[in-house]
Amino acid sequence: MSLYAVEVEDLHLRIKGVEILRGVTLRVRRNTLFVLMGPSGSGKSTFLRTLNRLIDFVDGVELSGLVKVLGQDIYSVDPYDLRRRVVLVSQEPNPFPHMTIYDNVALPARLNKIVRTKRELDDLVRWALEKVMLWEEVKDRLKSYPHALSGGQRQRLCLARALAAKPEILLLDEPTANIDPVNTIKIEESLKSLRDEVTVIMVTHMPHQAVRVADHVALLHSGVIVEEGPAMEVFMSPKKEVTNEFLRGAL
Amino acid sequence: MFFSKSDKLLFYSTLPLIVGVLGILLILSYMILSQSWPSFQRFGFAVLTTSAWSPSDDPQREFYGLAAPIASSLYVSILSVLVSLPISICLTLTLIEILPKYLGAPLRYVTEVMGGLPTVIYGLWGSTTLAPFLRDQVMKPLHDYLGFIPLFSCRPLTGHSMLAASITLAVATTPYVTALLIEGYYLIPSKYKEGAYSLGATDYEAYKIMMGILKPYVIAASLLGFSRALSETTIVALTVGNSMKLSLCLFDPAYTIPSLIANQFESARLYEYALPTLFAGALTLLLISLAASYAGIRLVYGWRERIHV
Repeated sequence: MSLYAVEVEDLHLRIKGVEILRGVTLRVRRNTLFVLMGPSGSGKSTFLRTLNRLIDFVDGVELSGLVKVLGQDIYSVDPYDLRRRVVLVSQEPNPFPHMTIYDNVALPARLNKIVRTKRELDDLVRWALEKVMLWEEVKDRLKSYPHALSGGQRQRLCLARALAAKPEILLLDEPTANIDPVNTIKIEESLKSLRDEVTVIMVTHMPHQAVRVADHVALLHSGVIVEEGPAMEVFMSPKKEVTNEFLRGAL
Repeated sequence: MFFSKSDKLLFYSTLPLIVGVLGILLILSYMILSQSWPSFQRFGFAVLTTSAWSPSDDPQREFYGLAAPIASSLYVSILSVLVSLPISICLTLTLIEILPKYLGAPLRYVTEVMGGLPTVIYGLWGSTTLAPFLRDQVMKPLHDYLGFIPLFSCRPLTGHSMLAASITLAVATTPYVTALLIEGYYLIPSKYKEGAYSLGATDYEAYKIMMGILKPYVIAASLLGFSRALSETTIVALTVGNSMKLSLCLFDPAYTIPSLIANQFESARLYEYALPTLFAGALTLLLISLAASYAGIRLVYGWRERIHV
């Protein structure tokens, strides 16, 4: 089994002729909380969507280079199977409005046939909601619909839904960008508690958030990895001026 | 209330249009109610609960009841929606998701163009081609082999029947319902589809989730399609057979309210209560149609709020 959850070598990606990623090379160790930082428009979300091939749904994508996830080239495996193992949580909360809170969390288990009995499903739903610290807030209204929840609760519901898929890698695209500080802290606490169970790759444009949660960080700027390394090392003594500027909020 | 002079100008310049739309609806309703009033005065609510069309030169011997055309209108419209809805759902998914864009896009235009064709074209096709075909290929075998079922119990004659009217109506309303569903499908934010795929859903599972999100819109589109089918005149007048009969059998001819009005309007002027009775039918149609459209529009608004949270 590969030591790395993700290995990317010289990844170039163009969308309708515009080069978004320009030779990204990166490795992410298993069971770490990896934060990919970078200013808006640097290609972070595109990179994340490449890892589980959600980028395939975008028109006009041209890609070259090697992307290995969990030891396998992503273009040699079934994309649906890949996405079951590498689950993405988007920036904007997207719980399915026609499903109850319970059904939203239970959906991936039903899709992927992870559980066999109703009891196992109940336990999984509870486990996932507890992991994101939402159980106490919704345990009496599991049959209500997500539009009754606040934005932060909806995002935590999406995180719970992703966890219920029992992924090997969890991709988070700025998961706290649109939510309040209290919910942000709850999500960050949940992520820290997940380290031993799943590899987390999170994208953020907020250096402070990276400081709070990351084991390992990389800075993506204009489609290129500028610097990477253990979080404390990069934050305490950045080697590149661009990193310094980003951490100071000057980018 | 107004931030600037131009806001104020815009509001006051559009106010007559808003008042005008409401005014037209009120005037129409008042006109239909006042014209139908003599019929309600003479027959009471029996005009809606009995079936008869007996004109007479002596007003005392005239008798009219609209139960049969009202029931047939509902029957034919509901049947047409039951036929067109599954076709529209399949067409929507096929045109948006399954066909490649270079095929889906032109076919969508074709569907939209078909929705704008004059209804008399569908009516003529239904009357001259579909009805005889249905009589020979569908109605007769069904009657011969399954005649013990009330729906197929009557012997088909010309083919002009509630079944022919329903299917022609379904063909005519399918482009309209499909256009509504396509519009609704595109209103669903892409984050939900991405959400489905990011959990590992297959295409089929993702479409199923998207259709689940669309469900209230599908009900709304059915109500609007029903309302359209209910008020359709030419197609029904040419295919339904025009007979004052209250029947469950699909192969029987019938009158719907619009076809009754279209067929009897001229002669109804000769009798004291015939014309008011046709207006009573129009009033019933207006109320049902308004209720269905209102329910459909309310559903769409509620649905939009939910999906854009």
